[in-house]
Amino acid sequence: MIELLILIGHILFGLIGIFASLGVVLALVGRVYNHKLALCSSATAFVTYMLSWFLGGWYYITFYGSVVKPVIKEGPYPWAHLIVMESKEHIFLMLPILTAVLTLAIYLGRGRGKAVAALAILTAIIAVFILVTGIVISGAVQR
Amino acid sequence: MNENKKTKYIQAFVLSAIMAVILITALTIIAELYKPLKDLLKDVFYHHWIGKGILSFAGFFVFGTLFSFVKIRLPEESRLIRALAITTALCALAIIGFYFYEFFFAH
Repeated sequence: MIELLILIGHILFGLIGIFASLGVVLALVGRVYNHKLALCSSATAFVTYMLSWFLGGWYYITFYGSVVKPVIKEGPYPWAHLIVMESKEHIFLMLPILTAVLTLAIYLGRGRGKAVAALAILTAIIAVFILVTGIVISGAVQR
Repeated sequence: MNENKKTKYIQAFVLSAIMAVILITALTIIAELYKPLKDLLKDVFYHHWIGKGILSFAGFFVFGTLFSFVKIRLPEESRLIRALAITTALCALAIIGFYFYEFFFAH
């Protein structure tokens, strides 16, 4: 039961983070630069990715590795773990760092720059990629 | 805070982020190819993935803080941010490409 709650928390915080990352993009590339929305969204993305990281990490270490991983590897879609999950778990580690940089840059008044907008777009793309890989992995768990 | 200080903080933490992203990618690929590294991460941090996360994240803050106070000339701010975006995209593709290679060709 606790595993389920932890997994739900991981997904919920991850989803909030993705919406927040998209909010950062909207605030930065919109017709009018919205500093409050940009700062609020990037800080939210950072905090929720951290929470999602801890909850997902706990689930991954205590439950996924011993229960879910063997099922996927012995099932019809072993690539779901060997390619998708392996890529997801490592690329995810970049998200808190990217959102920390974005939050700092926006806080210090650099939100209007094109480079910051490009970084925000890339962060949102990676966040959506993480979401899609999570869906693929969940779908691959078949006995 | 004056503009020079702000620029210095951003340059420091963006450079540190570039290093952290490269570290994540290097540890991911090298630990798969060189088992003793994976075992070392496991022994020290309980799980290799926890090790990669702690080393990169702690390294990001430690080096970011360090670069903020050390007097070194860093590249221009927006150039560094663009470099971070390009490095991140390439490193993410490298990780995906590596696991594709491992799955289809290495075993």
